[in-house]
Amino acid sequence: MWIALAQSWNIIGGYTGYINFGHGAFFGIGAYFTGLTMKLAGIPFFASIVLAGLVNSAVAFIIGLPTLRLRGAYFAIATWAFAEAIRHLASILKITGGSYGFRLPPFLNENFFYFSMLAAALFTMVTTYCLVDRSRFGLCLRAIRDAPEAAESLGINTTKEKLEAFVLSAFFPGMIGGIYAYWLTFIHPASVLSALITDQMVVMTLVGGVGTFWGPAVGAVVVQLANKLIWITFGAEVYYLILLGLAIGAVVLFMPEGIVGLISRVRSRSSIISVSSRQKGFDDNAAAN
Amino acid sequence: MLLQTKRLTKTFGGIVAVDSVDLIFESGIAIGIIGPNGSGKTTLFNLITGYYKPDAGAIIYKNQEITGLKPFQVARIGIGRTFQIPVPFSKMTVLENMLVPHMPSAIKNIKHRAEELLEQFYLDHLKDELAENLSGGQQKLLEIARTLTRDPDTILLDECVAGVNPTIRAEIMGHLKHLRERGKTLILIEHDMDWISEISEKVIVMDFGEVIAQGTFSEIYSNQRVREAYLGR
Repeated sequence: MWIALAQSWNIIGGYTGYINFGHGAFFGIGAYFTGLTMKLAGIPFFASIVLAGLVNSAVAFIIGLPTLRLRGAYFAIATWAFAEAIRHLASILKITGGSYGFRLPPFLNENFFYFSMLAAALFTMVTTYCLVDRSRFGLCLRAIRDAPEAAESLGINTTKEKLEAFVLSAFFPGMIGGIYAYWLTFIHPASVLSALITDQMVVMTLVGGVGTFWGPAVGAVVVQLANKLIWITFGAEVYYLILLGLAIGAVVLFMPEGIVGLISRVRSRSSIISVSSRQKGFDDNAAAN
Repeated sequence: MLLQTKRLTKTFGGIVAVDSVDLIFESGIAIGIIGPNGSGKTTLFNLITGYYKPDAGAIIYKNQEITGLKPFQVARIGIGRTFQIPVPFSKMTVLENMLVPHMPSAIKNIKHRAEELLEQFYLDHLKDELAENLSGGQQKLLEIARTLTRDPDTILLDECVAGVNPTIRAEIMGHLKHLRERGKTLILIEHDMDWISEISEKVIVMDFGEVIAQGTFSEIYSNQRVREAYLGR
């Protein structure tokens, strides 16, 4: 689940460079939408999660139109405010069960949820690889991240490209949120609209390598393993939160390119060393001859 | 007439950066724009290319009004530009930089064109290098090459040899002469009179947002207002 969520955040936050602190809201909307359509309209589960993704994309389009004109901290604050608004809305609406939440039709089959989540994660990864990492669209997004003015001067409609990235990135958490809600069978604002959900996506992507394809996956695995280790060792959630904060600080300060960036830097350095040592050997041989 | 500005005006607070500028740029020649710092040269470029919206006036390109178009729309009608400080896509490789531009339908093989241009600009051996690792001069070369991938008819170059070593300056001069021979219109902002006089047929002098003189270099050199603008009254 976290691999898919972190990768979806990476599309807008990493490839495009727009730090979205409201991405967790799309997860929550997906969870609520799936739950409500299954419960009230009797729509089948798989149709519900696809619809949840599409609804999320529509919401992202509406939110993105005004907010993607903003940059840096302003965009981050606007998206955070959007997520807070959604959380409050879910807490007061009757249809969502307010702060108590509501129950979904129970389906007790762990394997079903495991494979559904795995398929959703694979779908997210493959789609991101094809549509973003290996495409001209991805090149445009990275150009917008590096120098938006220069991208415009080359005929790139940056507003359109950013909006497409935002709409695409919102689709996946809608689907994942739906699967999570059906697995949990009981959802309320604190379980699916917590700010911690976004925080984790951001931390995982930063730890793994922001703007890289494998970064979010590596980050999700490392942070989840660290989570489990802390829970087993200390058994208290407060340690986890402290360490989460420390991890963000440490990554930003000492490893801004994340694990994947660090590996590629070490790789390129070792290739330079091997080339120069080969050159040295060549020079020594030449001198001996 | 290729490009025309009609009473083009732009103010920032109380400062009039471009003051009712009327200019006509003929097709297929190189035109230099000179003037002291803060005279409005770059603001004029930003107005033509859509980065700033004018407070008054109009911009006509190929007999069509383009005032208020967005920068990407201006680029798509055939006006390319470079920036005073080069802006490469720093975390992308040199080749990736060349593959970003939105391509006109006439250009089919984007990668082939990109590699061809890199070869012409002697950057092909750096194609897998991150753009941020290039020297200032190489970044200027990359920016010009990247602008040319779209094959624009008109190219606006903002101080394209400022802070560049003599070898790369000569190289850029060679490329610009070649472009002029191919019928491209070049509009260049530059401080180096000798360099700009080598390529430009015509020169425009700006001061305090106004066009104070225009004509050939010999006409400009003998102009009293130009002397005052550069040397003081």
